[in-house]
Amino acid sequence: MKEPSFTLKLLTLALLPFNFASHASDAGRDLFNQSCVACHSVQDNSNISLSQRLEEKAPTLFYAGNKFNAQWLQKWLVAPSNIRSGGHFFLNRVKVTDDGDVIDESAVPQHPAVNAEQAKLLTSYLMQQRPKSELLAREHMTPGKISKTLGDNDFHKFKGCGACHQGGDAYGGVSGPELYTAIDRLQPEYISSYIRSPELWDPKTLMPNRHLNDSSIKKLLDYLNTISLNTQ
Amino acid sequence: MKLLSFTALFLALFGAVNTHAADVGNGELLYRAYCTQCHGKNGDGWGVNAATMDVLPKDHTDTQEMITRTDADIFKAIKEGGKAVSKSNLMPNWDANMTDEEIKDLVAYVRSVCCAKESS
Repeated sequence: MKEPSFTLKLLTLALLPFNFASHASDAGRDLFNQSCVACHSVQDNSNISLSQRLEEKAPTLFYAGNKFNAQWLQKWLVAPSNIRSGGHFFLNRVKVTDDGDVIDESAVPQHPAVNAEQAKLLTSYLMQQRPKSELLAREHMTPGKISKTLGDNDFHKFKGCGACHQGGDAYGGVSGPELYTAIDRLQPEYISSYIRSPELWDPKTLMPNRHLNDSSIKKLLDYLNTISLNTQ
Repeated sequence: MKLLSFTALFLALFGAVNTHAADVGNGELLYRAYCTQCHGKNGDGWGVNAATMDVLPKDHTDTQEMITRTDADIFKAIKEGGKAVSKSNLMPNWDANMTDEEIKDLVAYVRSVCCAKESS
């Protein structure tokens, strides 16, 4: 049999990393279909109805690769912690008491953990899900710094984000995801894009569009960065 | 005269297109999705987020308070946010989440929570 040419050997070597990545992504897809699809979907959510959105068991992963920081995702899958106090849709876990509505924590499902190898495969597959890259390409902000007091006031009083989200010192509302780990968890362009137009990501999002300009969005991004630095 | 007839016809048609019979059932679904987090599962203003808010959300079961608000006031507060009706900025604008017709459904549901006894 004829020895492969030098060029062919070079080409094979050059493509090797892509083969590994592709293999990991395929294995991750198989693992995802086996273990995750009972709760999560990677299907296009553009035409979802509000009823369907409220019945979802877990957040869509349709655009996971545009949303998460891969390093955080891989680490989190091994040791998941709760990001939404009341789960994906808080109302399913609300108890009405004399002191007002509270989240029944015993009713909030815990996300299953996977081993390190499985986390790597799943992360590889999920980071391939990037249907909304054009939205990220419109964002050009780098998280900076802000005084925590100014940021707290902006987040809670002026913008009202703290009504639904926990910010610095884990203080704030519980119906939305906590945001004191947002900078570790999410790509900065995703954060600014989601604040700018949440409905372009999730047509039946439960988050309002406050029609913020670039400067207002930057201030929030700086705040999330500041409180993230404070919690490390 | 012709112009008058045409105008009358236009207004009749335009009015017909814009007549929306509010769907209270759909309003309830929208209320569950967007309002209960602050206004409470039963609409009493004590939603899961209320405990850490600087201004308490409106109690929609308070008939005496709610009958002082017109449907147009409630519609405006939902669509444009609390600030638009001189209330708290913590009540956000929901214009990107609901169409005008959906907001009308929601207003009808809020009316059923607050004032069903009054109107019956």
